[in-house]
Amino acid sequence: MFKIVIPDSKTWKNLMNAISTLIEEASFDVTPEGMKLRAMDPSHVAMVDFEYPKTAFQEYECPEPTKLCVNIGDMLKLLKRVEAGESLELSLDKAAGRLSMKISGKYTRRFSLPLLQPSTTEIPTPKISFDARVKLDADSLSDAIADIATVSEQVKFEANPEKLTLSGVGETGNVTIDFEKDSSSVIEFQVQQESKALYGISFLEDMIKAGKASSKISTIEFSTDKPVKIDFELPLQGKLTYYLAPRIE
Amino acid sequence: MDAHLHSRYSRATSQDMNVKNIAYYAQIKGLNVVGTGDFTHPLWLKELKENLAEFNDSGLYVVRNQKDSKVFFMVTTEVNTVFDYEGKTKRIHHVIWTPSLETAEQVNEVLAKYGSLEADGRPTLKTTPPELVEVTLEVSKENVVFPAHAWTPWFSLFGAFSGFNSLKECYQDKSNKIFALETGLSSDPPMNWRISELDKVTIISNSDSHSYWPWRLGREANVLEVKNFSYREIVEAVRSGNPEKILFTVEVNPAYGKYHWTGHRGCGVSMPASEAIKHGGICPVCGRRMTKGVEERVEELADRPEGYKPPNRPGYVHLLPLSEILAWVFGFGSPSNRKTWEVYGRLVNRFGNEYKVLLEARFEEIAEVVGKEAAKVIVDVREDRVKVEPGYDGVYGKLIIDEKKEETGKPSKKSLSLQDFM
Repeated sequence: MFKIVIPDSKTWKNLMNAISTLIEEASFDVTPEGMKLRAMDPSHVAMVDFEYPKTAFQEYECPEPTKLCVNIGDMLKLLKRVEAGESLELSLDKAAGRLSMKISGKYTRRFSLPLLQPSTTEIPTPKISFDARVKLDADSLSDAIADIATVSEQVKFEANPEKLTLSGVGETGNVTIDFEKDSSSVIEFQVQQESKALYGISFLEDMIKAGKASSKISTIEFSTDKPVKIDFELPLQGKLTYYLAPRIE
Repeated sequence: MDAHLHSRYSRATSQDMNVKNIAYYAQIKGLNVVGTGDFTHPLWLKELKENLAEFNDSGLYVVRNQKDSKVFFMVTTEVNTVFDYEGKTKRIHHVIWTPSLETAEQVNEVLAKYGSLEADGRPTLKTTPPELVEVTLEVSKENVVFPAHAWTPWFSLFGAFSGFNSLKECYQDKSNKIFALETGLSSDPPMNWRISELDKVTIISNSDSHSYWPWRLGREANVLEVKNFSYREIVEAVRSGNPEKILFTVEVNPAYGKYHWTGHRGCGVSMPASEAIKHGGICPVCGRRMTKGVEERVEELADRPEGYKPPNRPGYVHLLPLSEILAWVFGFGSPSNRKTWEVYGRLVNRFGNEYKVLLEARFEEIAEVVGKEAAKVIVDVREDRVKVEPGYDGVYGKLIIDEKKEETGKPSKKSLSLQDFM
């Protein structure tokens, strides 16, 4: 019998939204320890790596490991109907092949979603070491990317021991944003080696916008011409991490 | 020979696309045989009858009262067949050749049953390819039907969007009647040689031009060795596929075509087949499906490796229209620019026609007329030494004349896949 309860369904909605930026069908690995999902977008440029331990749930029952695959867009359509403070219960109706959603607030609502054939492909994370690691306020990072998106379709990440610079060049103008290591937006700053890489802005915008809804703190890790890893801290050892492949000049 | 073009009765065709202009510019280009195009259109057929005269019962025509003309017209048309196949609507274009204006009239009588011939120079017919072949050959065994621009994504035999996977699948029990296949701008013989089924057909090339300007007319063509100019001899040369009769085809480098690489115009993303497959055909910038390029489509259907050349096949040469080369080299902007015409005219006057400049003139001789820089590019094009930035998703490919100049311009970018790091 699989059953989980999330005290505030908005939290779950934000997490599902973060996953939906890259994929349509979400195939969760559900174990007695918690829920996991790792998936790449169809063009294999970006990856989402999500973990939510059982302690993060109000109730968590999962006697045996199982796979649970749903159309995440459809789930989000139903979650749009929830209001702040309503709790969400997910349970599995194996016989009917459906995921049941019970939303409890002023009254109780029940929805159900068909279960899809889960993916059996195991996806590894990129094997890379990072020369630059900067933990910073997620809102500042989101604002920086939005500023650059006004002029450019790509963002250059440059890091040296003093600062992280994000910049974009477009036909209408240039934008440069510096995060000095002692600036108020920066929480931790480690740059072992000067690094620079270029990334497509549309993926970054979606990831960061979705990630900051779940976390106030983001960590960027990258090396020259290697994928960037963006991690959003979730409560109780939860994890929401994105990887994005670089563009090469 | 350029045996597939269109008249002023086809959509998006110049109103001046008449017999006299076609003959005039064909001569400048260096073409001896051109298609009339659009014989299925009643008004164009009437114009053809009024303005052309058959040359010595050859099945070829010259402009009336110009018996000394070096340009012969072959009676040709293109039709679009629309039909349902396995639950999907297919639209496939075919070229038809016929030995006279009289047989053309007879073909029209039959084809009129399948759709309006007046609506467009390239009529749309509600029939299947095998039926088209059957009824056309019933009129005359000398009629010829073959697939037009076989690889363009839309409206073609192998097109990525509504095409078939084989000649046999398209023409069914009439596939044995198909002995030629037109490469179109999107492909060249080496791409077609990778499909063993096509060993039985002769790979030919035509411009499918909607304009008489020499940067359109004859940009793709066939070079044949015939004793006498006659319809029968031309058809037999093509039917035989004998490299002593059909010597080579003139091809625009397929990378220059609008659909060579797979890509997404909206995001400015393009990539070769190998990379597109790695990305699952999805645009790495916006996540939408990319438009599959001809190169990827060939890769899907090929049963032979890249670079395979079957024995005893006619050769080919990659060329670009002279006016386009000159416009690029001198920065005149467009082939129709007056300055381009001025330089073009000097070269054509000196060497006789455009093909002579492109194919035969020596570097030193060209340099005497237009300088060493342009002469070098013309010879480099002839010897296939120029690089082309491949076209994709409706964007034409671009000739890269000066790589250093390109490097200092907007840098090109490549989107890597995460799989490159796993």
